[in-house]
Amino acid sequence: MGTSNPTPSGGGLRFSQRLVLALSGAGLAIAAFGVLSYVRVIATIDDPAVRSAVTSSFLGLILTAAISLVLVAVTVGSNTAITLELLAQKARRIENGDMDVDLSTTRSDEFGTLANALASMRDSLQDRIDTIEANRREIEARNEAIEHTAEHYREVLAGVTSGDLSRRANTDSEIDALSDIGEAINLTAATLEDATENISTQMEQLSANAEEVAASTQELGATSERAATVGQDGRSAAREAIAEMDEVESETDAVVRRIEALEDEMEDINDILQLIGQVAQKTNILAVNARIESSRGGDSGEGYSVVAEEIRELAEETKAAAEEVEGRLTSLREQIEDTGVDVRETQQRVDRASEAVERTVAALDDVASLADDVDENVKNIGQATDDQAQSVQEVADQVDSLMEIDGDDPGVEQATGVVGGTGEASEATFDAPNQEPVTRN
Amino acid sequence: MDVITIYYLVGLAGMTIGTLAFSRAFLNDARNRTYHALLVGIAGIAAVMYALMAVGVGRITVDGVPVELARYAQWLLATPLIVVYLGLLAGLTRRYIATLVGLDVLVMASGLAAALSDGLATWAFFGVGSVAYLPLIYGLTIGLTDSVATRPSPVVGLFRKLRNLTIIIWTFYPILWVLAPTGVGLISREVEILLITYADVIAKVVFGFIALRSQASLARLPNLDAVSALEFGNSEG
Repeated sequence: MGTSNPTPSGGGLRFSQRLVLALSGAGLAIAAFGVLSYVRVIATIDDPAVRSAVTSSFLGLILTAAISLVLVAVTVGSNTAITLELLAQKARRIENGDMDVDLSTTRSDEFGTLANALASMRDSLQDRIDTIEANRREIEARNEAIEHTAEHYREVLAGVTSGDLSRRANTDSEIDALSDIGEAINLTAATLEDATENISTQMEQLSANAEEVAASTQELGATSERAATVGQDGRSAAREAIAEMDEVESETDAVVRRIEALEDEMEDINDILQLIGQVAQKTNILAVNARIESSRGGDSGEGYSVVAEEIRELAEETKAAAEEVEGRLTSLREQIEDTGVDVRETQQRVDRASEAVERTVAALDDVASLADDVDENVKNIGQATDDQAQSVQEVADQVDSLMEIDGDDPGVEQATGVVGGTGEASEATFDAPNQEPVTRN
Repeated sequence: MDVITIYYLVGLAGMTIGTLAFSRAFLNDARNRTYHALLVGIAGIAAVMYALMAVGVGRITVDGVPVELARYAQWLLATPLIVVYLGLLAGLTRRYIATLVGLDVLVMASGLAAALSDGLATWAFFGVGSVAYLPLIYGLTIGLTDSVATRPSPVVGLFRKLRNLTIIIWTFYPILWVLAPTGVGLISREVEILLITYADVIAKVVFGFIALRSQASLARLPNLDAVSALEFGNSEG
């Protein structure tokens, strides 16, 4: 018992062991002194009876000393060792947290003092532990309150996150920091609510704008269509003009050719006229000759000279007629030449007009391709407007769901309706260019 | 009046003082009455026997050596009570206590038989007693069950104090017995009686006073009624 509890005493020996050693030493010293005394005493005694009595007395003395030492060892030494060990055990129990260790004692000696000191140490320790425990409980209560508040905040935030923007946190916390957090949460929720309402308003505005864009796009589509139609009309008119002018040109060419043919024929007539002139001259000469001849012949020649005269007159008339014709022909040729110049000028003008019309056609082609571009752009605008309408619709849906949770806010429904209408308008805008494509060649 | 009678009277005085003190505790402390009763029994029997020895009752002569039968009677009756006292204090089982008491009685009876015998038989009985004394020591020291450790520490401290005192003092008896006329006769009968009286007073009266001084520690025991204490020990075995 108790042998496994080494005490921190010096020399590596337990108190009881040192006690036993000390008392053994004392016993041995007594025994040695007794034996020495016995040997010296017994040497002087001759009487056996006295010797025996002396021997007995010496042994008795040594044994009495031994028993007394044992008595001291047990009553004082063992008592001390055991008491110390028990007190050490109790101190260890206190060390292990057992504050119920009974240290009450009836002893008033040093052990009693030690026990009382241990008891007051334990009480002091208990007081401190109690204080720490109280602090711990206070901290725990505080932590519990914090956890409770945090849970409340979490619920509020979860509500706000799921769309219930009217949720507000209770900021009645004993802890200022938590109250601050609660107020921050409330501020955030309020800001969110305001922002959502603001978004609704903005959505409404956006819807109106989208509607306007849709109308404008539709109008632009019609305009571009009209532009295309006008361009087409212009081009067909230009082509007709070109055809007409081609006709005029070919006709003018025919006139030129005829004038040239006329000039040739007039040349021929001139030749004929010259021939007639020559014939008239020769006839004249003939007539002259005939008269000369007739003069040779007398009466019979007289008649002949008349005839010759007649013939000479005829020839002169013919010559005069031919000369007149020639004169007229010359005048006619001049007129025809003038006419040819005029016709050629006309032809050149027609050419220039034709070129102008060609340029007009090219310009109209440009107009047509511009109308195409406009059409393409209108289509893109329609697509963009449609995308925008979809986005607006999605945002509107979200805002709608938010506001639905929030309760019966008429402004929201209005905004939602407008946004829905905007979506339809955008779709119509997108469809318009497809249903009525701008005419292009 | 010879010196032996004076020794016996001194012993009687010591035992009587012890008996009176223990009786007073027995009367005043009802809770530990069983323990006090045992102490009263131990000192009382010793006192009676010393009174008998003082008047010379029970003194016989064996082989020329006077033998006090009253002393052996005292040992036979009182030492088992000491063993019981220690056993109850340590919370030992009834069976364990009975075994220890049996060994104790065997040791004392052997001593008596040795004293009554002569020649080789004396040493034979002394040998039996000595051999029987070894398991008794073992049973009170190393062989103790764990039940001792479950006792309140002040009680354990008291037990160890009384157990150490008892075993060491008891060890002197066979030494004295051998040195005395019953053995080799190196010490005279007077000196033997003086030493035995001294040892008896220590083993019984001082024993009792140490126990009384630790009376407070007895109060730590859950229930110190003898019967329940025995039952307590029994339930643990």
